[in-house]
Amino acid sequence: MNDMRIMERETDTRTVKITARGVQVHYGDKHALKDVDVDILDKTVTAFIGPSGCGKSTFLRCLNRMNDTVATARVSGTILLDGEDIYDRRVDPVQLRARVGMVFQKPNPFPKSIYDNVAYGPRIHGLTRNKADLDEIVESSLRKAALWTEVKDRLNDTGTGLSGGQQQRLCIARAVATHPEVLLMDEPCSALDPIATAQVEELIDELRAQFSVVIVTHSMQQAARVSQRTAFFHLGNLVEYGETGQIFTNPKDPRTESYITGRIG
Amino acid sequence: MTEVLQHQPAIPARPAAGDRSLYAASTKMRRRNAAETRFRLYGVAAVAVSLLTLAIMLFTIIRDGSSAFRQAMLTFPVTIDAAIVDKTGSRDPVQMARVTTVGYGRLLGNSLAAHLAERGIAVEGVDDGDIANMISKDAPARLRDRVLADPSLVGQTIELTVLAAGRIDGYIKGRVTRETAERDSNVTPGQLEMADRLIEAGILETRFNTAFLTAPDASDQRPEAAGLGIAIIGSAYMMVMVLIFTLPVGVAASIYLEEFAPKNRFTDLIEVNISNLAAVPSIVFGILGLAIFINFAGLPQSSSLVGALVISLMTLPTIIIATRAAIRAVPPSIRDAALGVGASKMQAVFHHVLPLAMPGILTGTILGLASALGETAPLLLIGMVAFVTNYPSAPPEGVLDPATALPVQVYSWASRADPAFLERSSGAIIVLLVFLVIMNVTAIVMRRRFERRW
Amino acid sequence: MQTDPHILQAFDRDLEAIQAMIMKMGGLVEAAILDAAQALETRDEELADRVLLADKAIDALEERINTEAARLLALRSPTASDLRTVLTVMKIAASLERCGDYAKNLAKRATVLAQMEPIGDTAGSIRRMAKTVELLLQDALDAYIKRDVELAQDVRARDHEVDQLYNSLFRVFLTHMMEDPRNITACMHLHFIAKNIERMGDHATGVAEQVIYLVTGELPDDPRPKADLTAFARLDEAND
Repeated sequence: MNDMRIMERETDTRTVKITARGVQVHYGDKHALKDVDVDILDKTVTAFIGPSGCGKSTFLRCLNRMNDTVATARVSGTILLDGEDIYDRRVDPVQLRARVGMVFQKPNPFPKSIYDNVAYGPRIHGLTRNKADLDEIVESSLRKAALWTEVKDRLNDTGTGLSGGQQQRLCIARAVATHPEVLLMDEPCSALDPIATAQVEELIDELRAQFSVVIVTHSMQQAARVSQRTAFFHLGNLVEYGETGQIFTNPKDPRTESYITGRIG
Repeated sequence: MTEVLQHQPAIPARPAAGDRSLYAASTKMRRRNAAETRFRLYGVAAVAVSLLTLAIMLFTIIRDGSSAFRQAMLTFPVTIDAAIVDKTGSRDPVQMARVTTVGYGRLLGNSLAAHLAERGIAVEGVDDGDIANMISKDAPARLRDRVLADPSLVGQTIELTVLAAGRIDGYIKGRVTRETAERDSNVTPGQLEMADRLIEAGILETRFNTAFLTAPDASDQRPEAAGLGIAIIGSAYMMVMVLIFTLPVGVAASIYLEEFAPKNRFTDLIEVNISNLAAVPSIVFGILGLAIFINFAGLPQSSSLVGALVISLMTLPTIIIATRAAIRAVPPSIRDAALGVGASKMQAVFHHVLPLAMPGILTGTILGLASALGETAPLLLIGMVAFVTNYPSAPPEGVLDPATALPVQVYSWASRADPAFLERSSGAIIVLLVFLVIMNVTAIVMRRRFERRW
Repeated sequence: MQTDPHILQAFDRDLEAIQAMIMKMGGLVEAAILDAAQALETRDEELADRVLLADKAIDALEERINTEAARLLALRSPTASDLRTVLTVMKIAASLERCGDYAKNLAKRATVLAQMEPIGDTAGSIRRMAKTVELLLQDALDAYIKRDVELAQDVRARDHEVDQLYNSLFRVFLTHMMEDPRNITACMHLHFIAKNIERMGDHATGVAEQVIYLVTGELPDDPRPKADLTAFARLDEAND
C-alpha cells in the first residue's frame, strides 16, 4: 500500500528563473499587454491561462524575444533571465533563443529527416565537435521527449511522416536539444487528440525536473493537471498568479473565479 | 434505461404532399440544374475550340515543315583527279588551297557525267553543263574542305553523297513542275526529265538531312544547304547566359525584398515597378539594348552576349515575381520553428525557406527561359538577323562572335523569296517547338518530383 | 473497473494517496472501538484517556481527506470510476469520523462507569457487540480496498446481528432498571453506549453500500435488513 506520499505539489525550488517587471507591449496603437509583474520559478511548470486575446501568448513571446519578428510590436519594461536583461542592446536574440526554447501550437517539424530536425539546433550553435557528440545529443533529446524507442530505427525518415503527437514530441526534442534552461510552450496540445495530449502532459511533468517550463493553454483543466503555478491574464492584465491548487480551489480575485467557473469568456 | 431504445415509432409511410416532396424536383431546382448544365457545355465547347485550334496549327506546321528534314541527294563515285586539285603533286594543303571551288565543281560534274555514261543512262535533253548544275552549288565547297583536311584522298575514287540542286529537290517535293520550269531560269524541263531517270537509276533519292540541324545558313542561291546549326548554337549560348545572369540576381533580389527589406513606401514602389516591367513590350527592350549595350558600351552587334543581356533584362521581372510567390508559399510556421531553435534570420532563410521554395523557383525559371527562347523582336533590333555563316567559337570568346537565334532564323527564312525557304522556316518552327516542349515537360517533371517530398 | 494506470502518473499517485489515508483512518477507528470497549470492561481509566486523545488524529485525518479530495476534483476533473472513487472516499471519511466520535463517547462514559458498580455482565456483552461491529467495519474497509461487492453485501446482511444484540441488551437494561432504581444512572450510560455501537454498525453498512456504488455505479436497490425493533418496545413486553 502507498505510504501516503501525497501529491508532490510543493515546488522543489524557490529559485526565480525569469523576473518580469512593468512589461508593456503595443502592437501599433493597440495596447496588448499592460504592466505585467511576475516571477517564473526554476524547475517548475508555470501555466498562463485566460480568454482569447488576453495577452498570454504575447507575453510568452516576449520571453524569448520572438516579438522582435513582428514589425509593429513595441516592448517596454524589464525582463531578466538569471538577473540579465534580455532586451539589453548587447544581447543577441539568437543566443537567447538557444537558452530559451520554444514549442509552437501546430507541430512544425522541418521537412528533413528526424535526425536532422533534432541536430539542427546544436549544429548552428556549434555545440558539438564531432559526429559522435551530435549522435549522443540527438539520442538523449529523443529519449527526453519519450520518442527514442519509437523512432530509433528510422532516424532518416522525414519528420513530417510521423503522427501528430509524435511530431509535437519531435518538436519538443528539437527544442531541448540546445540544452535550454527554459522551455516555452504555446498551446502545445491544441492540435492533438486526447491520448497524444496526455502523453505530452506526462512528458512535461517529467521535463520539469530539468527545466523551467512555461505553458500557455486554452484549457483550464490542462493548466490544473500539469502546472505548479498558474497566472491568469485578462484583457492584457495579469490578474492573479499563485500556486495552482490554491487558484483552482480558492482564487483570491473574483475575475479569476468567474473565468475558472465558466462565468465569463 | 434500456426500455427507451425499444419503443421506436414506426416509419411513416405517407410522403409529404406537393412541392415538399423530396422525390419531385422543384422548378427552382430545375432551372438551376439547366443553368449549370449549360455552363458546363460552354466550358466543354471552349476547350474543344482551343484544342481544335491547336490541332490545326500543329497540323499545318508539321505538314509544311516535316519535309525540311529530308533532302534530295545524289550518290555516285567521285574521282579526286589530281590534275585538277593538286597540280604540283605535293599533297600540301596550303598549295592545294589555291584551287577554288570552281575546280572542285568541275571535278564533281565530270565524275557525275562519267558515272552516267558508265551506267548507260540516257542523257538526251541535257548537256554537260546542265548535268553539273543538277548538283548543289554548295557541294564543291564541302568536297574542297574534305580534301584539304585529308590530302590522301587525292587520286582516289570515293563514293560520295552530295546535295542535289535546290530546284531538283523542289521538283521531288512537288514545288517545281514542268510548267514552272519553262519560266524558271534556274532549271530546265530537260533537267527534270533527267531527274526522273536518275531516280529510277537509284542515283537520286531523298534522305534524312542531318545538315539541316548542323549546317550554317546559306544564301538565296542554295536553299538546299541552309541549316539551323548557327541558330541552335546561338540560342543555346544565349539561354545558358540568361540562366547565369538572371537566376542569382533574381533570386537574391527576391529574397532581399521578401525577407529583409523594410516595408515602406519605397519598397512598395519597387514592387509595383517590377510588375510593370514584366508587362513592357519586348521590342522596347530591343531599343534599350541597342542604345546601351551596342552604342554606349560598344559591345559587338549581333553577338549572343548582347542578345543574352537583353533577354535577361526581359526575363528578370518574371523570375523575381515567380521567386517571390514561391517564397511566400512557404508556411510561416517553418520560419517560426527555425527562429525558435535559435537560427538567425539569414540561417532561417537559407537553410529552410529557400530549399522549400526551390521547386517553385526552378519551375518559374524554366518557364521564363522557355518564353525567352521564343523572343524575336528585341533580337531583331540588336542585329541578330544578319546573315552569319561562321560558327561562333567556344565560350568565353565565342559569346562576342556574331550569331543568330532560332526564332530570328524563322523570321529571316520566312521573308526570303525562294519557296524552299518557306519549307525550311516551318522546319525551324518544328525544332523550336520541340525545344519548348522539352523545357516545359522538364519544368512539370521537376515540380512533381519536388512536390512529393514536401 | 479500470486497472490500467493513467497516462498522467501523478493522477495515480494522488488517488492512491487519498485511499491510503482512508485505510489509515479506518485502522485508527477500529483500534479506538476495541480500546474503548476494553476500557469499559476492564474499568481502565488510562486506556479510556488514550482513546480520547487518539480521536484528535482521526478528526485531523478526516479534514485532510476532505481537503485533498477537493483538490483532486478541482485539479484532475475525474470522471467515471475515478469520480466515484473520490466521492466514496469523502463519504466513507465522514462515516469513519462519526464512528470515531462514538468510540470517544464510549471511552468518556467508561470513565464514569468505572466509578460505579458493574451491571451484571453487560460490559462483557457490550465488548462482544463492539467486537462484532469492529469486524463489520474491518470487512467493509476490506471490501473497499478489494472492490469486493459480495463481501460488501455480506456486511450489509450481518448488521442484522448487531441489531439483535442491541435488542437483547435493551431488554436487559430495562429489567435491571425496573429491579433497582439505583441502577438507572449506570444503565442509562450503558444504554447510550449500546445505541452508539449499534449506530456504528449502521455506518459500517453505509460504508459497504458506498463500496457497492463505487463498483457498480448504483446504490443497492433493496432496503437494509433492519432488525432493530426497540422503537416498538413497550414496558409490558420487557417482562416476558
